[in-house]
Amino acid sequence: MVTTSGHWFDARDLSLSRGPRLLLDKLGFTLAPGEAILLQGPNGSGKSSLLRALLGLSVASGTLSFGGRSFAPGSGLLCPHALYQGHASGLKGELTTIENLGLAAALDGFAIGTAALQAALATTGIAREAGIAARRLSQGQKQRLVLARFALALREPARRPLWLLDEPSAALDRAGAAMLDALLGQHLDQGGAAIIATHLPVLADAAAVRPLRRIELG
Amino acid sequence: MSATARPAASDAAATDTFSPFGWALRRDLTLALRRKSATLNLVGFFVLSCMMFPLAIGPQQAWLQRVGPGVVWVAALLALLLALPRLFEHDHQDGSLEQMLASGRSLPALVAGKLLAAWLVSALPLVVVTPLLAMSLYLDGSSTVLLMVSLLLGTPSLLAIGSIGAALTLGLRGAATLITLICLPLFVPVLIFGAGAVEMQAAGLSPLAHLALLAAVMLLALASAPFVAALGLRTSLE
Amino acid sequence: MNFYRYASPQTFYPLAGRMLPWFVMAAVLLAVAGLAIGFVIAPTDFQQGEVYRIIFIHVPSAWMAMFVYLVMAGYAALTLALRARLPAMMTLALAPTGALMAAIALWTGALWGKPTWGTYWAWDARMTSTLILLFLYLGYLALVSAIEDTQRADRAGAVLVLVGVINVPIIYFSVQWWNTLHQGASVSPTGGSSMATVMLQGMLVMTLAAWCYCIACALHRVRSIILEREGHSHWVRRLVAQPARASSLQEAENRI
Repeated sequence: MVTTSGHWFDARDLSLSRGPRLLLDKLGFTLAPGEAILLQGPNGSGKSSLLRALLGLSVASGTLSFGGRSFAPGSGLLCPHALYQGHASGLKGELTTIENLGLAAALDGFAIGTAALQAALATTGIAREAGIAARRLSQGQKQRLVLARFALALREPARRPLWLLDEPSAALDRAGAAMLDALLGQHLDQGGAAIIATHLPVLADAAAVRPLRRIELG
Repeated sequence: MSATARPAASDAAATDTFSPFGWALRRDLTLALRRKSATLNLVGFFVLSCMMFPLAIGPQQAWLQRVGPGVVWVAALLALLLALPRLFEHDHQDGSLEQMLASGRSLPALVAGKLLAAWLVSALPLVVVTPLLAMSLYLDGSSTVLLMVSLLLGTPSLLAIGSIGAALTLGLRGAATLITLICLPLFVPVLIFGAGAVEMQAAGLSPLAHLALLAAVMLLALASAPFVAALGLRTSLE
Repeated sequence: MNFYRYASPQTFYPLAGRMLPWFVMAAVLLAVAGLAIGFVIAPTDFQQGEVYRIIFIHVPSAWMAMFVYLVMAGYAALTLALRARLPAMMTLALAPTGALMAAIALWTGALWGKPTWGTYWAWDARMTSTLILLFLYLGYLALVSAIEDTQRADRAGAVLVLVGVINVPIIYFSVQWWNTLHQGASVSPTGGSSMATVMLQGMLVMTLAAWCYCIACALHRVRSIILEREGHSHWVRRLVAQPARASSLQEAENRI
């Protein structure tokens, strides 16, 4: 569905302050299905704040347009259509890997069965850790579990087409980074979009074949 | 208040049968069962604080019988104050609270689910243990039953009001004492109606008015607290 | 007059500065008049003698403690509805004054209680409710000072005040209920007899004096809060950088 402005997703005049500092000053960008934006900039430049602001978690002024509607970022109307990976993992240490994934999938609204969960864990390379309590996972394994949610989302690409990722390659080894690239690549191929805040090379190989814009902050 | 609307829970998908309330309830119950020490500590605190009173004021039956209901009520109130900081703190620290806010699901419904789980895990055990304490304080059978009923009606209000305090003080240093300072004045009506009901019966009068008021406060608290706590959570996470 | 112009701290600051001296003067004049009526003109009470005169301070302060909380709630509602900075600053400015009013009410109530029934504190409904109100004030101040981020502190405080204001009638009712059922001492500053007109007039004048005092305090405090919070902005920096008009020769000499 195309918005009144003609774009699939549209952000206009985003302004955000942290205390007295103006981090973002009337920032604007658009996204079309299959596009990804890399948010780059030094620490404290507002990358995480921008992602959170799009979801209404941080205060920002401006207008967002998606799904035929225009709304303020603070309304949180983008949330049902977005999948967010923040700094904190959102994992409960007392629950097992597969239980964590099941909870997240249910919250995200994906119809899931154990087989689907197992498949997603296999995609991200932690199938063997399915029955282990999440607190016993290594940092890299925890990040893979966080990304397993996104692997699950690939099954229903229309439900949450906008992926907002904050440093998704943190703690991932080379194989993990390749897995992340594959996930993102498949998501973009299926018509989804992504905004990725990172200072590491992500989608480095893919940059040659798909549109990948950078926004520098700070 | 934000002038724009929050997405309705049904916005997520047309065929969605997801219940945020049920999801949060089941999740928190599962988590509590894996972390049983929290409940045991709470019950221990409750029992110990009740035990302090006979030690402090002497074991005379007449005195203990007179102050018994009030003692149990205050001990339950303090125990629940202990449980309140944990309501949102763990979720806040590991980021799952942020995920809940980012999911687009109804936050008041999620909070309500967490509240019911907290009540089942923190308040219900206190009511179950009350007969033992009542016996140690020389309360008779009918007083004990009435005490348990008043706790069943009053503890939901305490948790509901307390959840607002917990939401506002999320992540702050000294949150536990802040919650106490903020919530105790708001607890006063519940305490008065709850402990008062048992005393009325002890005086030979009907406790029904007190219980009715207790129930009224409970309905008001349960109806409004999830929304106010949700607002508090959003404020704390901004 | 366009009120929205004064919704920004920058324009409100000088306005508050201009209003402040008038309210101070009004408070002083009304207090002098009220105390004159209360302590000199009003006749000795038939039942309680001279001691009753403390009600000319006790009752106005108790009323103001309640009223200030209501005004705070009004500003709190504006803070949440408009996401504005100035209403939150007014809420914060009013809180210490409201707490002071409650404390004065409690203290004068105790002073009046001792000679009247032999005890400083009698757990009567009104005093107990005022004590709880004092804790509501203290809870608000504690919460706001514990949060470093001012935006979060303002909104959290506003939510707390609104929750408090809705609960105050419930608390008052429950304490009244508790007190009558336990047949505690029933406090009536007038001793149950109808008050002489001059006493009522005295209380009214003192209430107006307290009201002006509270407004003056709030205006003064909000100016400090504005300077503190907007310290980074250009108009504050300009204000602070201006050489102040030398109020004494000494200051002028130091500047040279």
